[in-house]
Amino acid sequence: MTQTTYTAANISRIIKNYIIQEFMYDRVATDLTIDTLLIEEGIIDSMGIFRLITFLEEQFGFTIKPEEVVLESFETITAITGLVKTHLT
Amino acid sequence: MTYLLSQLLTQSTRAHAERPAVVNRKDQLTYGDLDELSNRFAHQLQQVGVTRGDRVGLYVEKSLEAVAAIFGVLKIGAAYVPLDPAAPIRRIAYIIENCQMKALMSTTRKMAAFQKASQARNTPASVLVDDPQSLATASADPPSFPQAIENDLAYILYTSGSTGTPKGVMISHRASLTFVNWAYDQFQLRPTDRVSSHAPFHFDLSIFDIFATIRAGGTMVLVPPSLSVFPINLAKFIAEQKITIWYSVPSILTSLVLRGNLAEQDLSALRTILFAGEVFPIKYLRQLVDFVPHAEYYNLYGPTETNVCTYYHLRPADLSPDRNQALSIGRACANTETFVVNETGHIVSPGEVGELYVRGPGIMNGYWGLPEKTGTVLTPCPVPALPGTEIVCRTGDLVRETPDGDYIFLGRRDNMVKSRGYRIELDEIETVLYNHPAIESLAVIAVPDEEVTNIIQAMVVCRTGQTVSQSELQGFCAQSLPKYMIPDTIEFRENLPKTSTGKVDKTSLRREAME
Repeated sequence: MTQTTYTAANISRIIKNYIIQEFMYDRVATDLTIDTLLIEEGIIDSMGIFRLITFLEEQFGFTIKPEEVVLESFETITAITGLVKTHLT
Repeated sequence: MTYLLSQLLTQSTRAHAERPAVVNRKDQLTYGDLDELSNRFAHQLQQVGVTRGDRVGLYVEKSLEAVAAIFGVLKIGAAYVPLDPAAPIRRIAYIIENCQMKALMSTTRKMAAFQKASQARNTPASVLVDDPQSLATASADPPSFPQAIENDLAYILYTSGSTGTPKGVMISHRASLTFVNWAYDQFQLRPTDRVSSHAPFHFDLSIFDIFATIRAGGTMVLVPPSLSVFPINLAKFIAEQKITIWYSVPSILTSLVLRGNLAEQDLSALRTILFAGEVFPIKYLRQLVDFVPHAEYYNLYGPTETNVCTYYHLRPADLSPDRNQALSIGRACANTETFVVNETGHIVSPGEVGELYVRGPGIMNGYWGLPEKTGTVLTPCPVPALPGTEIVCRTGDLVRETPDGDYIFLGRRDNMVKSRGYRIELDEIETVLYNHPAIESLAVIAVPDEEVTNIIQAMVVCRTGQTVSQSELQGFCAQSLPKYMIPDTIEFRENLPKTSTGKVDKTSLRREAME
């Protein structure tokens, strides 16, 4: 695998595109911002979180530990981006 | 004499006005507050013309206001109809029209979104639960006592219907109180109890959380729905909130066992754990008991139509490592009679398989506006020794009685399945999908899953020359179906296997899917 350098902005964009494609089939995609409350708004639910984690692990090439699967790290795209960044640095 | 649900609040307010009745994150209402707020809602409802016997929809996230709204509706002798706040507008609009709702209670934001999207012809009157101005002008005094009787409807709970639209289960005050009084006695609820409110209000598990807790003068602790996605946060919440009685579907408890880091939490306050809605796999229950050994465990059973009608108190022997039988659903609750009937309408001997029938004051009044469907479920009692005409409720569940006198649940008579504790009519999903123009034929099947009971899978054959993607079809379903009914996976095929009579062969599809 080639080494890619990700900036916060393109990490966010990748996550946002994935969420729109996978989870936003029942709503207007333009409503999604990096600060939308993904869990509270019901965009990502208990099944969705597993798919999202698998995607992040494959996309960015690291493993998310069970103890990292907490609300604070997945509340918004900004929070998920933060989680990804701690693994990439 | 207590014969209406609203009296439970009035009585507990008299005894415990200063005690907390409902807690939502950092906010709370004391019994005095809850009583007063529900009075204000009651007056607002009267102002828009709601009277005894009317239906009032609750289209609102779980909140302190939602609990007060429930009691506000009940206080004027109307029936509340809890709606899934995340359900598609089309489904909400259907229910509003189906039960001829007189008023809809909601928040400013949700009401605006609903009115914009629904373009409903007959929008019911609206009462906003978050409008301080109109609340302040409504009287806080109790409304005059409703001239209602216990046979009147207290609420209507809509569940999945096999004909493609949801059906409303009508529950009277008497039916609800039969269960609530039993649960209050059985689990010895006290004013010091902090009871979880995990299930959404449109799900019948909430009846215990709301009414048994209020009857006891205890505290309802609203569990934020977002926590169910993160078992670690949920476990922390249970510990921090010092929950004493927990009630939820087993799949939530399984997720706590598997991913909740339970060993790190102080769960000493938890004294009773209740679960219902689906089968709890013994291996996860065993692990839960290891984490929380001091609690009492009960398996509660009963479709929405009967309330909880049987219960089973877990014994250590049920968890022995060599046990391979499913956990029992136990025996009938107080003031409830159950019996097992075979296909010819006769009561079977213990040990034989048959359908579970329920007799007693706890059963529903019927399905709203569906007399024929009601007639197939509420039927004359097959026990010949009873004088007069007695109606009993067929559960549709197949059971067998053990030598100990407890029932074992074996499966369904029809196409209904459970997933994450929700009941789902596979036919309803099929009916919705068949409306998609690209689809030629399809089958929706339930594939057994250890953690969530069943995964919903659709097998689709497209018309020649047409294609459609999984997410397009899921989006199509989301216009009519709640999230828990949308197929988890959709498989595209050239054709589907048929039985000798030309029907889609679901048995072989299910067998294939399980391999």
